[in-house]
Amino acid sequence: MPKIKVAKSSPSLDMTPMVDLAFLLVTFFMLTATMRAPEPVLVDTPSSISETELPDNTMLVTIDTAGRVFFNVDGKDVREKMLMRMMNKFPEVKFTQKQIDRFKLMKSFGVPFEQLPAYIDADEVERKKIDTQTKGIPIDTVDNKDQLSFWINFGRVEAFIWNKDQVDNKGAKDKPMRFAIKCDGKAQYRKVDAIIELFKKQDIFRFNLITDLEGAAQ
Amino acid sequence: MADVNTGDGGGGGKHQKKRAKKSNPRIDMTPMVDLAFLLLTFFVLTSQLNKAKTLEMTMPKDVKDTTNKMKLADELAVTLLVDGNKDGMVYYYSGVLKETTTLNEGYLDKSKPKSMRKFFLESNKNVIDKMKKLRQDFKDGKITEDTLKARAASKAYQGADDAKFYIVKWGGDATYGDVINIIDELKISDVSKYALTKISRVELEALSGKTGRKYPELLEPAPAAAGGPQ
Repeated sequence: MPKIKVAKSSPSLDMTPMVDLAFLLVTFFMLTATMRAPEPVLVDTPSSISETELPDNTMLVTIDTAGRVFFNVDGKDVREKMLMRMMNKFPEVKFTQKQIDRFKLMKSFGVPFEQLPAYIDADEVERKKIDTQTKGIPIDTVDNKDQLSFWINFGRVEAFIWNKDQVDNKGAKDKPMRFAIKCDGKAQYRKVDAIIELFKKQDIFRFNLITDLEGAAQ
Repeated sequence: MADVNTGDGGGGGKHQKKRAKKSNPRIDMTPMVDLAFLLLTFFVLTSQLNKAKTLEMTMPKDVKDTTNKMKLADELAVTLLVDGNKDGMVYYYSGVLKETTTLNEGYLDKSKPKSMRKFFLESNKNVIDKMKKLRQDFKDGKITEDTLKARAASKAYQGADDAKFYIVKWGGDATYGDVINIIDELKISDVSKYALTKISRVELEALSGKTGRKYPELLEPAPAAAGGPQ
């Protein structure tokens, strides 16, 4: 009787579909993921049960434990036009074209307008140093030094124009600018109230207060 | 690991004659899969962590004209005083502050027996019970999610005439965390009628009498306690 032949099976699998799938997912997550913006200060936000997500196209005011104020607006074009308006308002501060281009790509900053050119030129190490020493964006209402109000106003106007242009000419979805406040849980509430008052003066009454999801902090 | 499996038996070297190698086009894909999944894990984790969660707040407009002010029945008003004390305590009273009003106290920490959570659950029981039933109906499939949302926001539930109105007042060294904590407690207890405002001098004095703390700042009188609900 002939011996029963045991089929020699190779233990290697065809992994091609698996690779396909894996790379498909990688691509998906890469494209959908928004990279975390480098923050000038570490802010430990309080936790809440709210699960509302922060919408795109936001103006963000960050307040750290000491009450220093940092400011950010999304969108390159909006940032550029906003800076132009600030330059008109404070003509004594000069910017080069290169500095304007770099500003477009920056994120949160917390220096008075006079120091902004130097801050833009600074490299990462120097910026960190400036961030630890800065007093934040001035919000004193005396002698027209309330620069944050100007930033808010110009950023908002430019964001409005940009959004209108997108909707009218490019058929984009209407995405009005949202106003977010990110504040450290240990900061005094009166600092936050001062910022909210500034917003209220410009008829902005709806805010997104950034919080951690409950449980995530513990 | 990363060698290419050519599939020839290795016996080709003995022959002098050059022969075209029969090469197997199969490549070991294991390292590639490893890499792909590593990247996948990375992006999944970072994109999840990135989404900032927010608490939406609507502040009322300051108006000098008081003719259109919201009327609020005294017995429905509950005032919560947040003064930023180290014990994590919040003081509260119902109705209008009078000489005889006692300030009650509750802890923000929900594990303590006298917690604010417990107080809210009791004082806002009417609304909470209704909401519970509504959510149960949704779970049982009796109503759709849209109905749930619409009804939850409707006057019969949140704006009900017997629903309490909570006024959170901050003063002293109240931190942002304290204020967010108390608002969060309100949200957990299904409260939608609340306002946030600065503490008034009278309340600060009453609070000082109760706690014995000296509040450094002299606050301006707060605007009358009413504001748009969230």
